[in-house]
Amino acid sequence: MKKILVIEDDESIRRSVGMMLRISGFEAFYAENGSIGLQMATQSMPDVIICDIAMPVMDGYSFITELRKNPATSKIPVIFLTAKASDEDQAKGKAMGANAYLTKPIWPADLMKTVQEQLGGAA
Amino acid sequence: MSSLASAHSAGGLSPEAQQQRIAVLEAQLQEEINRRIVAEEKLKSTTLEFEQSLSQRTELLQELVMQLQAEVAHRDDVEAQLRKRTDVMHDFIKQLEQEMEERRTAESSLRFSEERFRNVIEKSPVGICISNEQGVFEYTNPAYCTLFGYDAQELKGKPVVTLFPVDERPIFEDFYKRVFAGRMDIKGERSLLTKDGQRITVLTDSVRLTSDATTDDTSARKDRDRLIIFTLDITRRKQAEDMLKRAKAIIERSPAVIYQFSLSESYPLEFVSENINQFGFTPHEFTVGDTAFIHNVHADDREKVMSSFKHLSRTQADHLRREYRLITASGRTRWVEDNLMAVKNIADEVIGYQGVLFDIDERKYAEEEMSKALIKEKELIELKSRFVTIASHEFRTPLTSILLSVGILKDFFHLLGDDEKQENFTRITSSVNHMTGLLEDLLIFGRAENGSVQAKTATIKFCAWCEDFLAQVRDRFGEKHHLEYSLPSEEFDYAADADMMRQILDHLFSNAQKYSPEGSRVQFSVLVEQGSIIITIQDVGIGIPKEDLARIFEPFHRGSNIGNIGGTGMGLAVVQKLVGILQGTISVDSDIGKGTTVTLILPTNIH
Repeated sequence: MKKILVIEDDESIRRSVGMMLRISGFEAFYAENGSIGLQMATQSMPDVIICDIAMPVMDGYSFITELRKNPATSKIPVIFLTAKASDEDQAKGKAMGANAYLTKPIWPADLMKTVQEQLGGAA
Repeated sequence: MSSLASAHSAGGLSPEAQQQRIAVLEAQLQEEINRRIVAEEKLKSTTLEFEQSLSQRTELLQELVMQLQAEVAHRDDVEAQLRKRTDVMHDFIKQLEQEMEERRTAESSLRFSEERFRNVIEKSPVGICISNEQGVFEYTNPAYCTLFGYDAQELKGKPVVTLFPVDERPIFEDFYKRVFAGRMDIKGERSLLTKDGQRITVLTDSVRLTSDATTDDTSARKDRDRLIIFTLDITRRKQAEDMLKRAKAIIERSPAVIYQFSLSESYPLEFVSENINQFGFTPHEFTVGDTAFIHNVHADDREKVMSSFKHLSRTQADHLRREYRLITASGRTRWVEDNLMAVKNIADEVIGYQGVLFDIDERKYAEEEMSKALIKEKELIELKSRFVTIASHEFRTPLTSILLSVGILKDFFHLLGDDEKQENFTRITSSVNHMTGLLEDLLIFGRAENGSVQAKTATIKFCAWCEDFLAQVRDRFGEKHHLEYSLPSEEFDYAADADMMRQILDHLFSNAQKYSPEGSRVQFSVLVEQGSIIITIQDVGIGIPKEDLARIFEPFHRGSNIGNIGGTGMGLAVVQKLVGILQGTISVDSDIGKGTTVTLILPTNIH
């Protein structure tokens, strides 16, 4: 079973995404900020990470920077799922090393499609 | 001959005719002889007479010769006398010559003096004319002629009134009589006409030349009286004066006050235009009185005004423009613009300054209004941009939540348990509620801004209402925060808009919770003092940076230290509006990292 890490400070979204992943046959982990997310990523080595950008304690940018520094986790695909929707934000996200950039609000089907793509690419 | 001729011709005549002819001849001869005898006798008598006369004359001649001889002797005497007299005459002639020489010298000197005098008159730039008692020109100098555009010959013999405007002529008809009678003075300014009809303004003065006072005959004396009139063209001066008068009038009518001061110590004002009266002052106060202008400059602007002037005089610049407040005589404050220009002498040295000062109070007011409007506009633009950013973020999150839940329910409905279905429906509802709350805040703020929100008061039991409200807060806090509170010991009635109170307190508790660490306490207290209810809500959260404190009531403004804590920045903006509607006040004290205390003071009686 593929493991997906969801890093999201909004509990409601975190739970929805998690529920959707579980139903679709994935194992979902949760973290409410980048700092916790980084620990979990190192411990459980997820196949894909879905990560918000604006979060307390450690934001998505810092998280991906740290993640890429660690050779063990540097190759894990990261999908940014964020309310930052401007072109500049998207460009920045990609430049930081995100494999996909999705803006809120999003249809679950689109999110799942992107997750599948990242899994296929990683496989 | 004639007888011969007759004899010859008689050769052919009969003897009777010859006889007859001889008789005639004999008669003729006799007659001739007779005539000769008469003539001889007459000659004899005449000769006798002549002889007698000759002897008489000879006697006379002898007498004459004697007389002549006597006269010759006498003539010698006379000649001697004559010689004597001639000598006397020579002496006299010599004397005469000497006198004539002297007179020539005198005449030459007189001529020289006269010439000099004429030169002076002829070359004088002042028009000079001489008129007789009848007011007729006898002499006019070139300056006079040039002044009026006439030839001297044209004027000679013309009445002086020719030069007067037609309508004034009658007044001057007997002018000269009056002048000569000493009843009129010719001195003064008048307007006269040139030959081509142009009016010129002249200044005239006159000298009366009276004849020898020893003459007794009055009429004879008056005949010799003359008037010398000196005439100076002052048209240009007059025009300049008129211009000056007009310029002065323009200055007085203009709103700009003109003034001038010299560079000497204490900068005395030399001139201030009358229109300084628009500020309640008179020029006199400054130019003569000892009021220094700087004392009328607003105390806060004095330093600036003086230093700008010092800078101007130090740098020798030509121009200075400054704006400051002037205190008028009645004590009002008016903004003025003051432009200083250097006044220089021939050596290009600054000797003083001219100033043009005008009231710009209205302009200043308009400028202030405009700058306020600009700031407001800037704020609005900033507000719009903050609104777009925050709304986009704040709406995206609940929308995502809704979309995800709807997607799960749609795609996996059959796979979901009842609890999971319920969870998704609840998430949708709460997200919609969250967005509705956000919209509500925006609406309330907008309506409050327009002044279209009014308090709807109803009497409540204040302490009981608080207890009820705080119970809900405690539920919301759950395990994460501890609520502590103190209420007045005695219940009291309070006429309040309970809905607004709830909205206000909801926002304040929500902030206290959002910006303080889990497990911390939030204190709520109510005091009733002198007609006011004092409510404080205190947290031990992250606090608000000083630079943000001044702006926390602006819509969409959020503290710089909030990190990724979600929010719209509308909470305190709405709270402040609502507190205003309840005629209360709100203040915020905060220490960064230590916590924030919000104090509300509400009147117990809302009017």
